[in-house]
Amino acid sequence: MSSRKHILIAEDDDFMRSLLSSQFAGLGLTVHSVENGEQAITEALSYQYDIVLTDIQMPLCDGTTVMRILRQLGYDRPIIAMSADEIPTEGFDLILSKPFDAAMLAEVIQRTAPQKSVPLLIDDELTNLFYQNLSQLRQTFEDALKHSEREVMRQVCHKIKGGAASFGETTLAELAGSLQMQLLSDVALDELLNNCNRFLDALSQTGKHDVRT
Amino acid sequence: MLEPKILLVDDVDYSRQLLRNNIIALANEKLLHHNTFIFFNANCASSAQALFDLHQPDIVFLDIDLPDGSGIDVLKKFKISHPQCFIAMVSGESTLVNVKQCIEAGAATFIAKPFTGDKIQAALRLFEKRLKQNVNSLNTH
Repeated sequence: MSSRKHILIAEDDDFMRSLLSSQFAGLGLTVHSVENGEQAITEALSYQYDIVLTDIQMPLCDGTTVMRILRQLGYDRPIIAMSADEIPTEGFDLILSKPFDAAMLAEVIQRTAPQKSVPLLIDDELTNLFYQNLSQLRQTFEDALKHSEREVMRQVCHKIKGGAASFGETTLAELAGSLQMQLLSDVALDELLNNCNRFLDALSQTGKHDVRT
Repeated sequence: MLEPKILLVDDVDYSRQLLRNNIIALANEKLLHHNTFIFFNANCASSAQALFDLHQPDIVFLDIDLPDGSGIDVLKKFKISHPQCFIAMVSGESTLVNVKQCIEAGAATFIAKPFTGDKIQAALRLFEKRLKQNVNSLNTH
């Protein structure tokens, strides 16, 4: 994580979301914004953010539920609520009453300390294990594609999506994630053939460059 | 508890190894209260059940997508036989439905893959916090 503070904004109102985003970007923060409570939980659980700033009334899951679920799961980083109404304070680090002015918001965010980040430890032995596994999964995917075994193909995508990003293979992880969704959909396998072949190519290329001996 | 017992359940070898290495690293860096842990490994639901019954672990890192069943079903069984066990569910799909389902079934926390040092640390710190709360509550009764 860089020294710039990362903030997650959860706000369903398009205008408010872009206003807050540009305001924080102007203060030198790295901003990511989401438009509902479900996305807020998913994003916060990535532990990439120093601060979560959430609206209360949002679709799918309101801001108070977002905070409660995160706290229940042990999320101990600052969560700040923005609300026009009186809400219970327990669990939130702070509640900002709407409307609030830009200077007050900037002051609150700037005095929030950045989180200490722990790097993920990956040694050569582990990296070798990963690439060996990737090579086996490539073979499994190729065989499953030949025999139109859609569920096996989906499982391979699922495994790669979950593991590859830890080893810096983010593009491969994203490709696996998107193909996994397509394989779960009603789209016929024939129509997904190009994407499957593209995925196989990406798997082969990754193996070629990165297998350590 | 001198050495908490940790059961790692994932069908991918390097995932279990990654967790183990990083838990040891966190302990070595003195970022946890415990200095050492005892590890057990399972690559499927049935092996997880057998090791769970045999060793009664204090912590389980349990992947949801196992080759011979759902991790959520395994979680439910573990919580019935050993309600105090701290179970961290691990999944690539951190949807609201998934997270809520795990909490309702008794999971202590939820780790969304890919792993990061911060996510692993947060899970273990929660375990240590709960342990302290349990000890305090025992002392006051």
